[in-house]
Amino acid sequence: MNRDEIKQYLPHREPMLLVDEMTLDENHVAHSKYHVTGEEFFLQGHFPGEPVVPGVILCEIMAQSCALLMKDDLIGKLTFYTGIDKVRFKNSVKPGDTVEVEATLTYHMRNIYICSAVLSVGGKMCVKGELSFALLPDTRNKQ
Amino acid sequence: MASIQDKAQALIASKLKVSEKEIAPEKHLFNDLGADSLDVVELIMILEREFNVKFSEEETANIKTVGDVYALIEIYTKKS
Repeated sequence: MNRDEIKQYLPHREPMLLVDEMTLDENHVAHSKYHVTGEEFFLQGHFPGEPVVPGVILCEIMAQSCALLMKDDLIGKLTFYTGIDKVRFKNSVKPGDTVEVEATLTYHMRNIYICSAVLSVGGKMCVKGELSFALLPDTRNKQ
Repeated sequence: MASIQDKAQALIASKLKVSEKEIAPEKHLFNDLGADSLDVVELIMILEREFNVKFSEEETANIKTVGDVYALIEIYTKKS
């Protein structure tokens, strides 16, 4: 799934669409990639002369990858965080890096989804954590 | 050996980070014990794992009190 195809499912748009490609394997594990160009808004000032992708943005990259696990449920919905647990930051992510996320759905009940995710660069783990979401109706064009 | 209710009481207290003394059947999970909807889903996940059961979504949708939790576990553990 490329960026245009991802937009059919995720409600996020530039500059906050943070998944470039995604595949779903036979075990229903999502594998996604995002290339850090160095031009992103979140690198401005974080930090001058030493750009590093903020940890919260890495969590957002993982969250969007997790959301794509339930892509068919996303139609007509917006995704909202309900929780982030056991997040650990192991290594930093810098311009030029291609981050890879492996995301797994742990549990689903009604409109709440609990996932685990690992974000790595070149096979080196940078972040891991458990993220949960609620899918709520997208009422933006129904006013 | 702890009863099913004792075990459930301990699991609810642990999940919601409250004393086991506060876990009484009439206590409302949201209003009295401070749970939110994610807490309840995570609690259901823990209970399913610990009691080796799988609740139906329709039945868990009606869970409001500790007593509701006990009643549901009783039904499912009798089934299995």
